[in-house]
Amino acid sequence: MNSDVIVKTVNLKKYYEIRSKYLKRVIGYVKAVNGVDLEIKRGETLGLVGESGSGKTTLGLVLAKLVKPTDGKYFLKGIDITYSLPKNLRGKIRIVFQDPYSALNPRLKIVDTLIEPLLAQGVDKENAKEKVAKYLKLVGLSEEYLESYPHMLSGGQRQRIMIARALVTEPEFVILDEPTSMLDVSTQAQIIELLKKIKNEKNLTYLFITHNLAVARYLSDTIAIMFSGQIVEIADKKTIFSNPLHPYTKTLLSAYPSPDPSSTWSPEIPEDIDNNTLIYNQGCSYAGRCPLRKDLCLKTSPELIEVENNHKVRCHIYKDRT
Amino acid sequence: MVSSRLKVLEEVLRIKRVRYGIFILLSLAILSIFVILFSPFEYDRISPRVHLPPLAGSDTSWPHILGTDNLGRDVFTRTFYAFALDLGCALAVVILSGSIGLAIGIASSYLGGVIDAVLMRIMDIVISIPGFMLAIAIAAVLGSSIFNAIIAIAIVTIPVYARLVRSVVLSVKESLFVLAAKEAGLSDLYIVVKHVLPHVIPTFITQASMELSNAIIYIAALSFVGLGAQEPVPEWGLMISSARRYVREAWWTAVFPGLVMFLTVLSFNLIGDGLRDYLDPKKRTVIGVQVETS
Amino acid sequence: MKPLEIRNLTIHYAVRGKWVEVVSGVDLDIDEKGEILAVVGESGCGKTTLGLAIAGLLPPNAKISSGSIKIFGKDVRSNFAKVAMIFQDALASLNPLLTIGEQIAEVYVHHFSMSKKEALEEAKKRLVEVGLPASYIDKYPHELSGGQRQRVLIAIAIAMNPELIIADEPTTALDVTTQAKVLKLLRSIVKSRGIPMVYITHDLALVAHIADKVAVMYAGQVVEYRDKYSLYKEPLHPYTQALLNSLPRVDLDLEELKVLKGEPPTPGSFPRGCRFNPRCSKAFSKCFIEEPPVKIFNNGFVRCHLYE
Repeated sequence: MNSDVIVKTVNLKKYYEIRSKYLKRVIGYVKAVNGVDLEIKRGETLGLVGESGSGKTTLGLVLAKLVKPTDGKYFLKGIDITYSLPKNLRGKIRIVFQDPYSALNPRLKIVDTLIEPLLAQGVDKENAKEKVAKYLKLVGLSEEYLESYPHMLSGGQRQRIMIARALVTEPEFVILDEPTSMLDVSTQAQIIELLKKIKNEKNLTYLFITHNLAVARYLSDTIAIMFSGQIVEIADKKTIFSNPLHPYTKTLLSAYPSPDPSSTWSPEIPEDIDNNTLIYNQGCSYAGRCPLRKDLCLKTSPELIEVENNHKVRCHIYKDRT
Repeated sequence: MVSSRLKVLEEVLRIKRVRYGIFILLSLAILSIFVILFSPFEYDRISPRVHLPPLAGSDTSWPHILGTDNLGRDVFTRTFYAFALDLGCALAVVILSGSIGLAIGIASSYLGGVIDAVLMRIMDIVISIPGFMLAIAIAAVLGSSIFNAIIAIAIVTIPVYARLVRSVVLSVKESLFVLAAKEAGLSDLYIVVKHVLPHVIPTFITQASMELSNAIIYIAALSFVGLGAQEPVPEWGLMISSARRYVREAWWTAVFPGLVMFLTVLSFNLIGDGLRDYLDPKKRTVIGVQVETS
Repeated sequence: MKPLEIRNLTIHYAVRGKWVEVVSGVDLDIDEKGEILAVVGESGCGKTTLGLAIAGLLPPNAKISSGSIKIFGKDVRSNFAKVAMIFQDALASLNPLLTIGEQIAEVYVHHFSMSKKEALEEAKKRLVEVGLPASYIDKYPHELSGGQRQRVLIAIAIAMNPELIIADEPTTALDVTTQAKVLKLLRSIVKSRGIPMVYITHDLALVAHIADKVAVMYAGQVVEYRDKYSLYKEPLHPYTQALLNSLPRVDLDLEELKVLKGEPPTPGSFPRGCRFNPRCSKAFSKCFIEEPPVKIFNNGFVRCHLYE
């Protein structure tokens, strides 16, 4: 294994059971994460882009060790942490949630929220408070906020608190689950720049989950496009934007406008050919919408294949190009 | 934290209904203390001066303000002794059933699975039998005494708390800050104590204040049918029950205990109602400027 | 007569017994039919309140304290104007107990006194017009996807044949691809039917492609109001400039975002002088004392001391 690779997943899966109404028999599965292979190098930011229901948040929760995977392997620095986290790795993986408004307990003072991760690691209260004050400064807030309650803070300030809370345990891998999607434009820019600055200072590795292609382009080194629980395309960001291959990536790129009225915005979005994706259980998960689908797409699910150097696509069209 | 608690108290006291409720309750309580300390009449002293009308003179410095009953006892004194007794019993009921209900609710919601299912089905069974019927049955089995009445009523009202607490815990458990606490590596017990319980308490207290008035009615009702307080204990239900045969000639023996009981129940309902509205975000009258969502 | 003419509009909200100014002295116009005016701003800037006021839907604790809103010359406060509003939350805007068809038909029964049968026929036509199959008239809101529900809202809006449409963040809750489809549809319907529209949003990238004119709001005021090409090419107000510079771009690799420091003020605590002065990099002494006047340009204006 490459020593540079800090996070690695092999065929990671998370299925949720669908049960019948009365007898509670398992009648099917929601394949929220359906076989994800990722490698993230130290100091890299991987942008995970997908729409709602793509499973990107579930993948984030699995990687944050908040949800147990159904199958697959998960390594941190070469150590298998799929089922348990060794003591010396506790606090090395942290997550920042999307909604800073409900992620803070309204009845706790900021300082009490901030020291919790340290208390959980057995740090005593006084030392924890000292350490927390330092991190508050790092995220651009003055110490006086320690004694405030969440309702006194704005959304941007709350998200800064959540970032500080993630950093206090000195993590190496931070999962950012749409950390700016609920914020205003000017606040979003502040948080993005803050995340970038901290990453460079602390040599962090980010998984940046988002539906916003512009933010993903700005922050990421590598971009993975997720659809229906699977990575459908992954490449460094230049390649993704200059040479998108998967039909879904192309659609996504065409749908996203740039803030320039003289640029063209001509979304090419196929209508759903068939809403019922369950039919395509065996085939490609995008077959229900894909304008280029062939018979093969309905029968077998494509593999993620490397089309060019470090550019992988999950699509039958590119099968013969390798 | 102290200042924010004081602020909550201040805001609660600003609600009109709560203020009226507290006013009625305090007035009755002061009267009751006054009567217990200074009344020249004993609540159980029988005298031949039966069925004297209100304000009739007596052989002490006080007149019989609310008259006397069929055994010549002072109705005013008995009614306000009963205030203390009924309130005390109601408190005992609420503390007993509330703490058991709270424990069941938390255990059920946190342990889940079979334990949850069993506990909740037991609660369903208790709730499916009309409360008063069940209380009568339990009190009849245990024997007629005010103490047994308290136990019977407590058993009947446990499910109210258990189900309420369970539903609040279940919804708080789903909140993002609980997930965030879990992510920080905190233990389940810590999360329950520090993050979940504080969100249960306000709803719980509101319910308890409403249940106080229910408990008073239950106690009086059990005593009325002879399964609670026994003569000569001054208890509203018992007093009304004894008075009902003489209502035509001595209406005051039934009306005044009933009236004071009515006022007591009303005051608890007013307070509970006000608290519930205060805690219910949908009914909150304070509207912020933040009308925009984006 | 202009489709929309707003003059010196000021709106107050009653908050805990005090009147708080939420919208201050707004002047806006839509000059011709089918024109789309975008109102852009961050949360708390008053854009939603402005939209509600135009539609005559202000909550009871709000009042228009001065100014006027005229739709085709009629003051909305004394005349009935047919204004259709499209909200962000389509599920909450639709009645869950009525079919889609019934809800569209209701408009025809109510506004045009049609029989129910005729109204349902019209409803089918509207559904087709917004790109849904006519068979959907028998479906209930919960059976549709978010994008389809938003289309139904558009169908209801155009059914009443409105003089003006107000769309308040109509696609914020939708996915990128669905958003693109719905907005393209909305734009083409508005253009082909010649209905003027006020499009309220925080998304500057979408505005660039949907709107004709753009009004940028900050702290209850319109700070810049111009046609979109000149606004994006050469923004005049420092706030507009800062907003555009702080946007990550999907079409460019940027080295750094120019961060606008601080946060927008909340109503009730607007700063003295120019309301943008605490965050403005170009502020000078006058900005802290005097509120800047409106400087009128060809077909637009800016509210800033720099351009006097």
